[in-house]
Amino acid sequence: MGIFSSKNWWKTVTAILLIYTVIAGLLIDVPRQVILYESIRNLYFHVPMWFTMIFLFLVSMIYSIKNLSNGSMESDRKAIELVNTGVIFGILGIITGSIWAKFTWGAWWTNDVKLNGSAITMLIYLAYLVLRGSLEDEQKRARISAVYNIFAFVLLIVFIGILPRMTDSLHPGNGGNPGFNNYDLDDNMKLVFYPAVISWILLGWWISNLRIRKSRIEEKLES
Amino acid sequence: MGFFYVYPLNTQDLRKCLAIVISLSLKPFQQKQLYWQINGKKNWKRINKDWIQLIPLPPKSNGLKEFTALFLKDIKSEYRKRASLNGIFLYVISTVFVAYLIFNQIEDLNTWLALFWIILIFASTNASIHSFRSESSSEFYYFYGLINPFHLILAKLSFNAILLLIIALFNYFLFSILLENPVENKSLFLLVIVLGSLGLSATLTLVSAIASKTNNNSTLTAILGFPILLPTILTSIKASMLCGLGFGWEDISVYILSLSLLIVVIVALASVLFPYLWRS
Repeated sequence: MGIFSSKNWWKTVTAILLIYTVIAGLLIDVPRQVILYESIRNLYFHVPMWFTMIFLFLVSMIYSIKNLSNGSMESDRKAIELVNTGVIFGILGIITGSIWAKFTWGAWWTNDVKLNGSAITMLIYLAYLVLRGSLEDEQKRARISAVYNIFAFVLLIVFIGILPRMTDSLHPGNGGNPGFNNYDLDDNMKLVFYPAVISWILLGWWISNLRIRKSRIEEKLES
Repeated sequence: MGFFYVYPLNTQDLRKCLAIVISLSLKPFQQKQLYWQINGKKNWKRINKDWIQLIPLPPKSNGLKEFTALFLKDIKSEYRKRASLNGIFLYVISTVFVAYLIFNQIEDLNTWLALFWIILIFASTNASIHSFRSESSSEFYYFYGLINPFHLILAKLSFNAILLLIIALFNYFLFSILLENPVENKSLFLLVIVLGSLGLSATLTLVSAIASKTNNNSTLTAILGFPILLPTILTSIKASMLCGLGFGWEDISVYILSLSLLIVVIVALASVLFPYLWRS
C-alpha cells in the first residue's frame, strides 16, 4: 500500500480533504442569508473551481515559458495537459455558477462582468486548443502555442484584474455588494472553505498528473 | 516571381534565387543600406557579384537603421499594393454607407457606438491580418540570418499602429458626416479612439504573426484574435460610452489609464515573445 509513501502522501491528503469537504460542506451549520439560504453551500464547490482553473493555467503558462527557454517537449506536454484539465474545471465552474444563479438571481446566465470574464477565458483556451489542432509539426506546435499561451494568460490576468473593479457586478465584493469575507463568511464556513480550496486545487493537479502520464505512455506505445 | 519556386533546386540555387527575389523586390537604395549594415561601407560594389556571400553573414546592425529600413519597406510594399489598402478603405466606406441607408441618423448613443466599434474592429482585423504575408514565404529564410527580430516586430507594430490609426480616424470622419455625431465630449473620444486602435493594432500584429505560421489561416486568426481583443475593446467601449454621455476627464481617466496599461503590456509581450515565433 503506497498511500502513505513519501511520494504519494499528498494524494491521501487530497482524498481525505475532499471527503471532508463534501460531508462537512453539506452538513455543517451555515449562516442563513436572505435569498441565499442553503444554496450558500455552493460556495465550497463553485468558487474553488475558478481558483483551481486559474492555478492550472498559471502552471501551464510557467511550463510554456520553460518550453520557450529550453525547447523541451516534456514541458509542452505538461502545458497542454494542464490546460485540458483547467478547461474541465472552468466548465464545471460555469455549470455550478449557472445553477446557483438560477436559484438566487433568477436566470441561468446574466450579463455580469465575472460571467463574461469566464466566458472569455473559455473562448481563449478553446482557441488555444484549436490552434494546437491546426499545427502538424511538433516542435513548431510547441513553440507557437507556448507563445499564444503566455500572451493570452497575461492579458487575461490584466483583464480580470482591471475590469471587474470598474463595473457593477452581482457577485459579492463588487459594485456595493458586500464580499463574503467581510461578515458573511463566518468561522464555520471558513472551516470548510479553506480545506475545500486546497483539496480542489490538489485534485486538479492530480488529474493533470494522470493525464500527463497517460500521454507519455501513449507516445511510447506509438513509437 | 513564381517560376523560381517551381523549378527543382538544390540549396545553393535556392539561395541564389532568394537573393534575386530580394534584389528585385528591394530598391537599390535599400540594397546598399542592407549591405552597408552587414559589410561596412567600403566594399559595397561587390554587391552585384557576390549575392550569395550576402546571405549567411551574421548580423552586425545598427538598431535604428535596421528599424527604419524595415519600417520603410513596409510602407513601400503597402504603397505598391495599393489595391489591398484601397480595399480596406472601401470596406469602411461601404459598411458605413449601408449603416447610413438603414438608419439615416442614429439618435441612440448605444447603437452609434456599437456600430462604430464593430466596423472599426472588422476593418482593423482585415487590414492587419496579412501583415506578415511577405515574411511567411521563403524570404523568411533570407531575413532570418539578416535581421534582429526585435527590430522587425517594432517596425511591424509601428506600421500597423499608423495604418489602424488612419483607418480609425477615417471611420470616425465618415460616421460624423453620414450618421451625425451624438458624442458630447469629442476631444476625449478622439483620445479613446487613438488608444483603442493602438491596442487593437498591437494585439492583431502578434496574432497575425502567429497566424502566418499556420499558412495564413484567416479563420484561425479570427478565433485567436477576438477573445484576446476583448479586454481592449471592452475598456474602450466603456470609455467611449462615458465620453458620449459627456463625462469629463476625472471620470474617464481610469479607463484611459487602464487602456494605456493594456497597450504597454501588449507591446511588451509582443516584442518579448515574437523572437521565439521567429525562430521556429
